[in-house]
Amino acid sequence: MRSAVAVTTLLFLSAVSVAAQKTLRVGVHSVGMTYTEVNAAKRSEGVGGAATLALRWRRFGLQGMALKTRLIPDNDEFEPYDFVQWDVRFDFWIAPIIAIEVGGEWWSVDPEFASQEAGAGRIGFASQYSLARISEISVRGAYLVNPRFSGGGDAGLAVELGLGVGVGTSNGLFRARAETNFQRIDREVNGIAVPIQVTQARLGVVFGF
Amino acid sequence: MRTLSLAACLVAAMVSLTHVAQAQGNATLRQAQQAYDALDFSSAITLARRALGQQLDRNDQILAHELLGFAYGALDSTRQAVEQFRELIFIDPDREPDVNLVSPRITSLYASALGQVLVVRRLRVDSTSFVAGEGRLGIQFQLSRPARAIGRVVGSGYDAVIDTQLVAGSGRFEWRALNNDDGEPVPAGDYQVIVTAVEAGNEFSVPTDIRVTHAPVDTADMLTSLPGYSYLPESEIPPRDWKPLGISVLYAGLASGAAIALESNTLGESEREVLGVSVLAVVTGFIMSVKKPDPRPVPANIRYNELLRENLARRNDEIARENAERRRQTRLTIIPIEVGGQ
Repeated sequence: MRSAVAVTTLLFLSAVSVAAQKTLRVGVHSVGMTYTEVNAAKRSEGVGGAATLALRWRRFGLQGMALKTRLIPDNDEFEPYDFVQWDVRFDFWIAPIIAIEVGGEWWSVDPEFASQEAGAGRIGFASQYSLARISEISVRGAYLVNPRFSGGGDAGLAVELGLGVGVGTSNGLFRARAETNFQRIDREVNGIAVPIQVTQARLGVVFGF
Repeated sequence: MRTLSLAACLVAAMVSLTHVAQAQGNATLRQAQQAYDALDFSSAITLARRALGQQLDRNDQILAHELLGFAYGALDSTRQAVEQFRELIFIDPDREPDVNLVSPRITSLYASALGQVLVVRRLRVDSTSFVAGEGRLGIQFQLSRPARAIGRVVGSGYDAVIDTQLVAGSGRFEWRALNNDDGEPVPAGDYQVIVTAVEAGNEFSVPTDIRVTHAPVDTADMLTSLPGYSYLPESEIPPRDWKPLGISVLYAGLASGAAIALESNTLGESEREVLGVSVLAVVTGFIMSVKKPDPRPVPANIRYNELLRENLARRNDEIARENAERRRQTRLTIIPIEVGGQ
């Protein structure tokens, strides 16, 4: 507990110099998504929408996302279902373009048992580089910590990758953004591999305040 | 030889008296002048002396003594001529024969007379204007003989000896126009500058009038820029480079490459979304590389401009202080009103 307090204190004391840019950003996105589990035959694709909220204060950043898509399995034997994902990330920028990122995610499906419901923590990095005053590019990678599944089991390898690019006004009030997220979770149940792979593409606009 | 000399003197005297005989208000003096013009020097002397016995104004007195000096000179009466010139010098020390019109004999007689008297001549006060305490009024004069000169300024409620010095020939006094007791500028008004020559009981004074006026001291305008210096542009357009494209290729390649590498063999290909966004990122990087680069700050110019602004502010502070000081100061303008002698 003492070490946690000390680390937190150090983080706050070192919170200097990174430009705050806009402290609050709100975005709405359209989403295209592919969800695959067990094997290639159980693959679903669909579109939906997402909303994002991002706060930035000095070296600290907090991001949240709510996403909902209607996934349609390739196999006609399965019914379409809704996929709802909640995502939260906390960034600490250790350099102007490099941040440490921690957070978590969980998703649910409706109807129940249409696919796995899962949740996991994450720890990774993020990098954002300003291509110009009106544009930036970002990349992130994370290890998904201790994933949990509604159907049980655990995962040895669970990682995610992200890429985003934005173009907008020079004052940062508006950005058109394209983002993608790739996740691979090597889930095993009773020694049987039932992997999950999720890819998302989001295209939307972000408003800064 | 003597006859030739006398004749030359007569001719010169006639010419010079054209200059002498002007503005005579006295009838006897006019007759003396007419007698002189007719080369009847004896009658001219008699009439001029008779005129001096009458009530003559200063100008007529000057003319009478001058006519007598010239007439005695023409008659070769040196002593009387010198005596008349001495009287003339006492009345008007600055008056002297014009060497271009008067014979050398007459001028030498005048010079002889001048060497026998103690007078202050050519008292001159130059017009001037200065900030009180920072300038002086120059007073120039000449003494006919080496003597002690005393300068004095007298005005309403003001009487001060400004200097005393031994003078041979030309002398100069300077007056600061300040009260001796408090150092404040003398009040505006008319003053009299009196220069007195003193030598072994002989004393001769010449006054001249001056007028002192007060005015506020001009203040300086504040500066909007430092002369000779101009601000430099604080930003510049850098040359176009391909760094945005390189970065976007790096980021997109990293993400898409890792996605392909991490893709599960059993789940099939599903990197379509990653590749799509990667292509968008590369295109964006390319556009950012070929578009006009954003202006970037020039630290050296920014620092230079800051120094310039600091110097400008410092100079304006100095000007403001100087103006505040100047508003407390007084500009004195001194002009001569009239020059006279006695």
